[in-house]
Amino acid sequence: MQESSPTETPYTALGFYHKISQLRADTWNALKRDLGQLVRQEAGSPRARTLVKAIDVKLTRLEIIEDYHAFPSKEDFRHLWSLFDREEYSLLEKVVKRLVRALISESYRRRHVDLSETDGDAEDLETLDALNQLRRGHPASNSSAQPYFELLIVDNLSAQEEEVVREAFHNMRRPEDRFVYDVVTVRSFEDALIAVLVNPNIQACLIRYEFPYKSKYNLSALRNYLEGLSEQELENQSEAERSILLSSMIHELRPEIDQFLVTSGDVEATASRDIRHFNRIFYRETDYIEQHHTILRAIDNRYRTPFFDALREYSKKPTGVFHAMPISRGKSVTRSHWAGHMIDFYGINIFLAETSATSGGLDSLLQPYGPIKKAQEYAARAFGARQSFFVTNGTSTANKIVVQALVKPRDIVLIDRDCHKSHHYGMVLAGAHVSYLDSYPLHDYSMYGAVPLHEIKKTLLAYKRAGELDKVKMLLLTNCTFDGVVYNVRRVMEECLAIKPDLVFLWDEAWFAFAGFNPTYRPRTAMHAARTLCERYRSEAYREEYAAWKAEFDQLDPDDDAT
Amino acid sequence: MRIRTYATHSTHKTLTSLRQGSMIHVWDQDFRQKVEAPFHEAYMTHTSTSPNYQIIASLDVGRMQAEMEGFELVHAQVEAALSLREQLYTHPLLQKYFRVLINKDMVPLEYRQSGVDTFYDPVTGWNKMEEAWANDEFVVDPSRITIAIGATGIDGDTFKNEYLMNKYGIQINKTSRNTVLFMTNIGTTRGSIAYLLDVLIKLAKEFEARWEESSRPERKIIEHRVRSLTEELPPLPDFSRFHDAFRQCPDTPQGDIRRAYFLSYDEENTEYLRFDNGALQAAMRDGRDVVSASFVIPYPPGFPVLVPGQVVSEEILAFLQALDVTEIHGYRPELGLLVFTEEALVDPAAG
Repeated sequence: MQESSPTETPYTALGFYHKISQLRADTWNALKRDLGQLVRQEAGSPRARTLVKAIDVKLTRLEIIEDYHAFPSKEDFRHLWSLFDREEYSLLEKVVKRLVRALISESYRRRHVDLSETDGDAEDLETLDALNQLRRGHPASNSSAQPYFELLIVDNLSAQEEEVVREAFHNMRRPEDRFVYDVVTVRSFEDALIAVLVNPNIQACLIRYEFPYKSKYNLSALRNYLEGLSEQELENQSEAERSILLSSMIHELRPEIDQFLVTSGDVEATASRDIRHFNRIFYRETDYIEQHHTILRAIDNRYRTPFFDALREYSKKPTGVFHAMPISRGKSVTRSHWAGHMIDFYGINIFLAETSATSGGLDSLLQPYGPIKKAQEYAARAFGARQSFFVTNGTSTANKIVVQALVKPRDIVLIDRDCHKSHHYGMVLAGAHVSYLDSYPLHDYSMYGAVPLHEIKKTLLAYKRAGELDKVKMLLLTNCTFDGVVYNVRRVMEECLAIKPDLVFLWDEAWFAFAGFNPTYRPRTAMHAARTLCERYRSEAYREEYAAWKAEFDQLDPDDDAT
Repeated sequence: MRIRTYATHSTHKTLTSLRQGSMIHVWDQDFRQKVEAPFHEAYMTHTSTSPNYQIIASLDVGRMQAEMEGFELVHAQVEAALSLREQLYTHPLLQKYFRVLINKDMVPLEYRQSGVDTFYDPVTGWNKMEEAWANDEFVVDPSRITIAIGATGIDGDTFKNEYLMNKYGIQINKTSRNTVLFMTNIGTTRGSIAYLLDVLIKLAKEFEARWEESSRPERKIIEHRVRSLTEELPPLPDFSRFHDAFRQCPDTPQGDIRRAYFLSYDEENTEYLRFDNGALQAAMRDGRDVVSASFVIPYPPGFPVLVPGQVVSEEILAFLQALDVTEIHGYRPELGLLVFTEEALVDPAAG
C-alpha cells in the first residue's frame, strides 16, 4: 500500500480546498489502483484486508467530494457502497473503472452515464469518448456540441424527493436546447457555499424553501468565508432573509453564477426586498418549464459573444471590396503564385474576417454603437466595472489613455518609480508634475516590493502641509507587480481618501486580469475594492462614523506623520 | 466623497486574448459628468483608426470564457502553482540550489499584519493564504514563483537563456541578478509542472556533478561566483530628486519631467559624462549637480534608475557600476551618461 501517497492525509479532504480538484482526480485513480490489486488477492488475506480498509477510506472521502457534483450522483454512490458492502469487488472494480473513464473523458458532459446497469451501447459510446480523448490528448471541447453545466438546488429534500426533482429537470431537456445541464442538490446553507467552491461546473443556482444552516460535514475550508456569521442568528432568521444572505455570499464567492429564488411564502413581499443578486423569483417550484427556460436564457446571456458572433457572420457574407485592404477576403493571397503559404498556415477564415469595413453588422471601435458596445458592456459586467473599454494596442496605450483623460499639464501625479515604462512616457506626454514614490527594496534579490501605505500618506501629508494638496490629482500604482506583490487596494484608497477625498486612482493591473475570477484574489482588485468602498460610503452609519473620525483627525497636528 | 478608480488590464497576459488585447475598467462616480468627453478624446489620440478585429474578437471570447470558466481555470492555475511549490519546498536536492521565495522573503514583517510567514504548512496544507490575503498590507501571489538561484553560481539572465531556453525549451521572462520568475497561468497543466520539475532536478544534478568533478581552483571560482550572487549585491538606489530647475516648490518633491525631456532635444543643452573614467565623479566632487537628460533603464531589473531632470546621486552611480548587465537603455558605455550642461540648467524655461 502506498499509504504515503499525497492523497493519504489524515485531514478532512475539504481542508485542502485549494487542491480539491487534484485531490479528487488522484483519489479516484488511487481507488481504481487499490481495487485492481484487491481483485488479484486471495480473499481474507492480510493484504486483502488492508486494501479493503484503504478502499473504504477512499470511498468515504470521495463520497464527501462527490456530494457536491452531479456525476457521479448520490444514487451512483449508493450503488458503489452496496457493491462494497456485499463484497462484490470485481464488479465494483468494473464500475469504478467505468466511472473514472467517464470522468476523464468527460462522457458525462455529453450523455447520461448510468452505472447501475451494464448497457452495452452506452459503454461503447463511452469507449469511443475515451478513444477520442486518447487521440486528442485532452477531452473534447464543447465548441460545436451543447455545452454542459450543473444547476445547484438548495433545498432540504429527502433522497426520494431529490430524485424526483432531478428527474423533472431531466425531462425538460430538448435536443434543440443550447445547453444541457444536470442537477446537484444540497440541503444546507454551508453545503451550498461548499458546492460553489468545489464544483466549478455549477453555473446556476436555485434557492428554495427552508434549509438548515449547518452542513453535516465539518469544513475548515469555509472558516474564512463564514467568519462573523452566527449560526444561531441564522437559524432564527426568516426563510427570505436566509435566502438573501446566502445569495449575497454566493455572489461574493462566484459573482458569475446566475441565481434564482423559489419561494413558497409571500412572493410580493420578498420581491420588494433587496434581492439584487437574484435574476428572478419564482413562486413555488411547480413551473419547471418556466424555470428551465429562464435558466438557459441566463446562461446564454453570458455565453454570447456579440462581436465575435458578428465577425463570424460578416465573414460568411459575399462582398465585393472597393475599399482598402487587398488582403481582406484573402483576395491578394489566394491567387498569389508566391504568398499562398500564408493561407496554408493561417487558414482562410482569418482573411475572411479581415476587413476595414465598419458596416455590414460590424462596429467602430472609436464610436461603438453595436456589437463592440455590447461586448464592452459584457466586459464591464465580467470584471465588475461600471464601464469597460477595449484597447487593441496593448496596456502601454491603455495607460496613456487613462492618464491623458484625467491629468492636465501641471497636475501632480504620485507614482511608483519602478512602474512600467509606459507610465513614465505617459507623464511626459501629459505634462504631469511627477512625484515619485519609492517601493520597499529587496536588496538580497535585486528586486523591489511595492510602495508602503505610510510612504504614500507621508507624501500626501507633505502636500497638505505645503498647501499644495489641491494640485495633486492622481495616485498611480502597480497591482500586482511583475514579481507578484499585491496591494491591499481597498485600504490604500480608503486611507488616501481620508486625506484627499477627490483623489483619482489608477491601478496598473497588467498582470492581474485573472484575479477577478477567484474569491481570494478578487477583493484585492481595483474594481472590487472600488465597489466595496462605494457601498460602504453610501451606508448612513459609515457616513456618521466618518464625520466623527474626521473631526478628530482635523484636530491632529498635520506635522505628525504618524497620523 | 467620490470613488474614482481606474484599472488597466493586459488581458492577453493572464486570460485568453491575442497579444496587445487590453482593457480599461472604470469605477468613477464622476465619469459621466467630468470624464466622458476628455476620455473619448484621449482614446482617439492613442487608438489606431484601423483597429485589429481579431484582437477585439479575442477579447470578446476571452471575456466569455472568464465568465463561464474563469473560476475553474484560475483555481487550476493556483492548484498547479501550489503543487510546484510543495515539491520545491520539500525536495532535498532542489532545495540545495533553488530556494523558492515565500511570503516573508518578499514582504517585510511590518507589512504582514497577520504575521503569516508562508501560506503553506507541511502538516495542515495551504490554510494560511486567506488569512494573509484578507488582512495584510502586502501579499505575494503564490501563482508566481520566484526562485533564488544564487547557490548555483549562475546569474538570472544566463540561467534563463542558456540553461532554461537553449537546453530545455523552457521560456520565462523575468529575472533579477540572482532570481528567476516562473509564472503559472490558466493554460498551465499538471504535465507542464511535472516537466519543469524534471528539468530543475536535472539541472540540480548537473550542478552536483560540476562541483564533484571540479578541481580546487575551479571550486574557488564557483564559490566566488556564489558569493558574488548571494552576498555582494549592489543596494538598490532610491529616487534621488528632481533638479531645482524642474521643481515648482522647495517643500514638495514633484518635478516637471516633460520640460526636462524636451530640453534635451536641443543638442547644445546636453553633454556626455563618463563614470567609468571618473569624469562624472570629479564633476560631482566639484560641487556640480549632475542632472540626467534621459531615461536610463537597465534590464534587468527594468525600472529607470534615472529619469530626465533627475540628479545623479552617489548611490545611483554605485548601482550602475556594480551592475553586470549588458543591456542598459539610454546609456552608451563608450560615451557615458547624457546629462544637461550647467548652462542649460540656469534658465531651463528656454528649453
